[in-house]
Amino acid sequence: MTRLSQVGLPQFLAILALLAGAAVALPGIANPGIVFLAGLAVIEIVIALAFNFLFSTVGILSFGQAAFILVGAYGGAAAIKFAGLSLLPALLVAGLVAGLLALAIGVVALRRVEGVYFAVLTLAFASLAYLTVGKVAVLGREDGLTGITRPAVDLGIVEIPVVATTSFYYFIVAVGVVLTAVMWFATNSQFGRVLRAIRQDQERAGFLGVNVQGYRLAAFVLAGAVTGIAGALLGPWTQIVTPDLGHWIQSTKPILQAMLGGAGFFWGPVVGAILFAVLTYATRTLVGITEIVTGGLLLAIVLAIPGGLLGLTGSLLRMIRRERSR
Amino acid sequence: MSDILLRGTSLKKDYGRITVLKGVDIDVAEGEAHVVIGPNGAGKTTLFKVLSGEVFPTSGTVSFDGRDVTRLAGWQRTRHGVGRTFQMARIFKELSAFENLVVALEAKKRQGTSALELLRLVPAASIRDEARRILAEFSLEHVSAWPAGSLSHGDKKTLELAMVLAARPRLLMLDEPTAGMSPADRQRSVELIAGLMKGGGLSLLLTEHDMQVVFGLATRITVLNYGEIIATGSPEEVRSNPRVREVYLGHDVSAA
Ligand SMILES: Nc1ncnc2c1ncn2[C@@H]1O[C@H](COP(=O)(O)OP(=O)(O)OP(=O)(O)O)[C@@H](O)[C@H]1O
Ligand SMILES: [Mg+2]
Repeated sequence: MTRLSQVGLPQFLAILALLAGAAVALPGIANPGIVFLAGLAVIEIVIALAFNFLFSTVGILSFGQAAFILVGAYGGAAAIKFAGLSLLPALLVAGLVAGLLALAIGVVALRRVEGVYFAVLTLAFASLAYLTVGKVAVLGREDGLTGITRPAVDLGIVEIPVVATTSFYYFIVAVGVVLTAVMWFATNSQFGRVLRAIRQDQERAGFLGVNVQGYRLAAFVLAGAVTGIAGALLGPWTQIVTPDLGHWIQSTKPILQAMLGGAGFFWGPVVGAILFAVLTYATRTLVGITEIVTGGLLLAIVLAIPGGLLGLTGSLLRMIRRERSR
Repeated sequence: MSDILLRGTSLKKDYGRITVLKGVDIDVAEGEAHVVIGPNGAGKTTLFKVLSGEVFPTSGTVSFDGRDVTRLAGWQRTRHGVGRTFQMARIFKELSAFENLVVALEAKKRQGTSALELLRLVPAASIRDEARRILAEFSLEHVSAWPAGSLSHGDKKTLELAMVLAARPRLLMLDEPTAGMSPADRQRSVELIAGLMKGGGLSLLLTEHDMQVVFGLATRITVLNYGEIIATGSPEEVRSNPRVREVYLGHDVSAA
């Protein structure tokens, strides 16, 4: 067991349980408006975790994560609306579609360019997806798809209805917990060890017999699929999907959230996304200037504390300990 | 002569309009310690890159163990048994020395077993033991937990060598293994490498500027000058070669 604590498994499970517990308790104490925002926050947490997995573990900077949210959301919505699939298969379809898109983008861009050039290419691909979806008739062009229902969760032996808002909220939390665990596992398993090694020195990794491009591609596809599944929760939750889900703003959000919480920490994007949601809620009455206030605040925090909130907390704790030991 | 393990034939390498290698023929026989020497900028590192698969030659072929590997990427050649270090030691700076070895050992193990190994959270007990044993063997136990980036120059080079050896290569390619080392560290490295060769089953191709190291290790020497081989043969033959004396102006070669 000491081995598992070395890789931080017990700590991870404890924090995950704490967060999940808080999320589950929320509907009992908060109004439906807050619960609705919390559902969105859980989805954004997963999207930000996937972004940060690419950024901090693999060393890939993507400016185009919105593309995977977009195709995941439309894929899931179409699977429900047109194919009449139940919820879990619909999420699977979304993950598959987003994963395939990531594979296509990755094959074209990943082995050719690095760093900022790759980021710009992903931005271009995402813009292309955004513009394309807005022109397809079956997908409702600019109006998107509306009236997306919440089919039951079919577990084979039982069917769990999740039509009620609170039920579906719990479903989002459950999926969020699973995907968070997936991202943690991808980061801390041998797979993650190889990825971290690749980020630090691709050449050295290659000359240990590691297929560097293969791993980078696999990681990009995984992050794309996870983002797509998270995106697919949006349709049934908000009852509508529009091309705006693929707007570049949606790609910058996870970046900001990761930096806000601390990109160097697994939980950084989670802290960032939660704070982001709180800020959005706190400034909701400032009609028209919400974005400016939130954006400005975020920018100030990110600029003032480069290590993010978790980085700041870490330094503060160290300072206090040093004071004490004096 | 024994079997040829690595063979480069008519290797040419251009970088844009600069021709760095002008048709180099080189081979490494099984069990030999072949040292490539030459002045700065002669193309030694470039030759290493072409032979190991870091870059592809403009023309010419590379074969390893009888098979054509000219178009195989570096990681694929590594899997066939080529191991190499870099002129500037390359290690995973943020990982500890121990983790560096774990990554190397796990990479080797995955080739033999299934990719399901990737799902392992904690390195297998056998891997951890092996990593500790290697660290002890190379006198690196005291820095085991340190971030590799904070190791001394000599320890970084030693760690890199240990990682490469963890993959159990048949051919070891070392680009200036003692560059920038103190005389004491340098002596230890030579003893270490000589010891590896005694163990058997390993062939060596290395470049080096220090003539004491060169003549301490080489069973064969090749002299590269401006991308061309001007001499190859036993240490004695090369030492007495007039062309080589001319390039080196006699100093280091005769002094050694
Ligand atoms: N990527 C590159 N692009 C252009 N020119 C290069 C490149 N790499 C090397 N060269 C040139 O090729 C020549 C040979 O370089 P190389 O590094 O192979 O020499 P070397 O024999 O290893 O030298 P040293 O003893 O200093 O390590 C040099 O003139 C160098 O400037
Ligand atoms: Mg060199």
